Amino acid sequence: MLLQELKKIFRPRLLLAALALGAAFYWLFIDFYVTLYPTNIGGTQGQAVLDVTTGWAEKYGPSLSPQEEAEIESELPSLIAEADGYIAANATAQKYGLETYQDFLDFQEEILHGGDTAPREDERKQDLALILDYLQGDATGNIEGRLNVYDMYPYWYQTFASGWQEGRLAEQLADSIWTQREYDNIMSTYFGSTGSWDSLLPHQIVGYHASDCAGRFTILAVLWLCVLLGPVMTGDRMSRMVPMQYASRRGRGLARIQLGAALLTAAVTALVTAGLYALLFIVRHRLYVFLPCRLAAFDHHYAWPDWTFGGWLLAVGALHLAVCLAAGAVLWLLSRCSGNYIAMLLKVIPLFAAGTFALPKLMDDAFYYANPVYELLRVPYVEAYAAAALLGLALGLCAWLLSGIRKRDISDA
Amino acid sequence: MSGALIKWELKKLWSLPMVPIFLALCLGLDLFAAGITWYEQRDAAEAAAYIADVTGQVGRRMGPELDAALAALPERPLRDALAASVAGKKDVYEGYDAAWTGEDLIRSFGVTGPAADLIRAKFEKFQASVDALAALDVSLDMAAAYVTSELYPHLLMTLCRLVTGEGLLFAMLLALYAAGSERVSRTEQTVYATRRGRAVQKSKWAASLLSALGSYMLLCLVTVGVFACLWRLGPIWGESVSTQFYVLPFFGYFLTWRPFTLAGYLAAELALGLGLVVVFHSLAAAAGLLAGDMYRGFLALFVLMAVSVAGTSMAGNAGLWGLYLAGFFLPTMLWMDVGTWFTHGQIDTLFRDQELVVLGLWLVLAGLLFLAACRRFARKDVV
Repeated sequence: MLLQELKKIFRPRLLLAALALGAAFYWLFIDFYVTLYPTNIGGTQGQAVLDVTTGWAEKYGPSLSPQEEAEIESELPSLIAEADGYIAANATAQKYGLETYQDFLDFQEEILHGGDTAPREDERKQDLALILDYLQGDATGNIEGRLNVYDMYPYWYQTFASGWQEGRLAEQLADSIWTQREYDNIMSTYFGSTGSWDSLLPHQIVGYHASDCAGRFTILAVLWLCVLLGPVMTGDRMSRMVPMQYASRRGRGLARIQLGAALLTAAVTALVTAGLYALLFIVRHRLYVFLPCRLAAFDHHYAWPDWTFGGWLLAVGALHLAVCLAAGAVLWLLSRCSGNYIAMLLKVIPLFAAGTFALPKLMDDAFYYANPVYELLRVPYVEAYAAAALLGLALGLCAWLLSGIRKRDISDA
Repeated sequence: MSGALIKWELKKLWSLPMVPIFLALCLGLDLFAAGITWYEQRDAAEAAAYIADVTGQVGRRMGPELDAALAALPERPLRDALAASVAGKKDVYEGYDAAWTGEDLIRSFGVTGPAADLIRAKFEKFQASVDALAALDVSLDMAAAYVTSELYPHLLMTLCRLVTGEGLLFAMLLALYAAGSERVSRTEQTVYATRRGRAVQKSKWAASLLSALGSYMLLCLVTVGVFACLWRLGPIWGESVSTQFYVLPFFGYFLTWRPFTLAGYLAAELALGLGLVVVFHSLAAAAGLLAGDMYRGFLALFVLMAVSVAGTSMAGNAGLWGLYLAGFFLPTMLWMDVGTWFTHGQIDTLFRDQELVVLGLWLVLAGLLFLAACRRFARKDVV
């Protein structure tokens, strides 16, 4: 019977429509964040952070020891020499007598912040933009971005290594930027006996966008479930199948099988979209090198759990699965309680719209202090509680409906 | 089509509990959108109300006289902020080169071939409209001054897109339900057994259209009414929507083919939205009749809409500019451009009032499609 119910869900035309809608949704709302990542969010700087930190993770592992950090710092002069060479070779830079990268930085500072009142101000600004494009482009291997990363990351590392960051955090606690619980958690995960502030994970480029993309794939999964599951039970009601199904004792158990089929569909959809996410985002951009990196990293983004990036991805995957299962249960319920397809759509559409509003808030920066739901409620791991509550509520409502079915009069079916 | 039948069909539509509930949810969402933005931008709302109050005393045209009149007002931070934002403003449309704007857009988007030539020609013709706006000094309208770029997009883009989108969707669902309601109540074999019975589809169409139009107008009235009560714009409603303070990111100045006041532009937008409601309603009615099933009809239409949007976007990305421009002759893409209707439309439009032409075209096409579907339905085997 389960197989029959699954056949009713995975009808060829519905599958085709779901695929077409899915393709349109992917192109309009996901592709930009996956294909153009990371330049779509961080520009060439984002690309530089990803390229450089990926190289460091492959060379040094998930964290940096003081020796490794010193080795990175020692590479800076050679990078600057490389940049000097590019500047000296650039015709626009030669126009202004710029010979070294420092000359370029001084020139940039003069134009941007020095109240440039020189003649031909606009021309100078345009030339500055041209030189910057060159230094950020393929011809120089984005030397400007790389230099910024080599400058920024060792600086952040030193703020932690020297103890300055600990002092700063204590000041922030005094200024009520952190609650006592948040502060204690940071101290424990970053500076405790198993603390790991030396993790290489670049949160802003990797962590945040991994969760943002995951949220989008979750919405895609829910869209597919709406298309596939929405009409099934409604169709049974419209074709007056339900009284016939409930005519026997065995038939009364059919509703459980139908719910089971809906949940199985939800699980399969969750796995398929998780697989697409893994392939198109994680594998494509080689983010798997960061899997063993701890979340507690020296780029100043704080999370509740002391997990690795891989563990965090699994947790986000669990959120994704919970939301899909909840959606499957809710859709089964709405479909079961709708007398016709339009009534079903009038129920499903507002819930889907609410979901597209609420889901990103749940998934963005999941388990980090910056998560929007956490910022509102200040409950650690609120994302997990919310997903569990959603699933519990959905399954609870389904269980309540199922308990009534056995006893219901056939004419009420 | 008889009045009694239409009345019965109206009753049938509104007796479905989810219909009024859905409408109430749409109203709730609109009120939430209007309210939450006002709440988050309370300072801007206070500034806009102050500017509306003083416009009566100082006038609305920026220039030395307005600067002097502002200086004479009682001192307060809002007055100082207003004075700072309007001081020294010039007519930015004087000498505005529409052709340069067109070339810049063509270069930025990488448009090539005949499409580029058509866009170039459009911007050359647009120069006359810019000169007319310059002659009227509309860029010197104070409007809501420094608050304009937060206020106008919220009203003309966000709220209008929400209201028109809800209207279209609701119209489609009503049309599909009306077309398939006999099947739901299993009376199709009785009702459609005769020629006259088959003709009841037209009464259903009329009833669902009346419901859709009524619901849309209710959404517009309530949303705009709540907005007007929260923002208290007063005389700003009568000022130009092409004020130099209204600048959209990546779009620039809000230059229109003909001069509009804020109220006039809003009315024009909502009126065009009404036309779109009729188009989508008729398309859904036709889809319902052709598919013979409410869900299949909805899905077919929804997939076509989604694919048309994605397809147009892909064509632009791939540099297939002919296909990209053709996409904007579809009703879905027309809706996507809400908030920039009646403007130069960047690279999305080819000529003046393209929105009206597309709407007119689709009103006719959708009507013909519905009539063809009715004709087919009249001959179809009921079983």
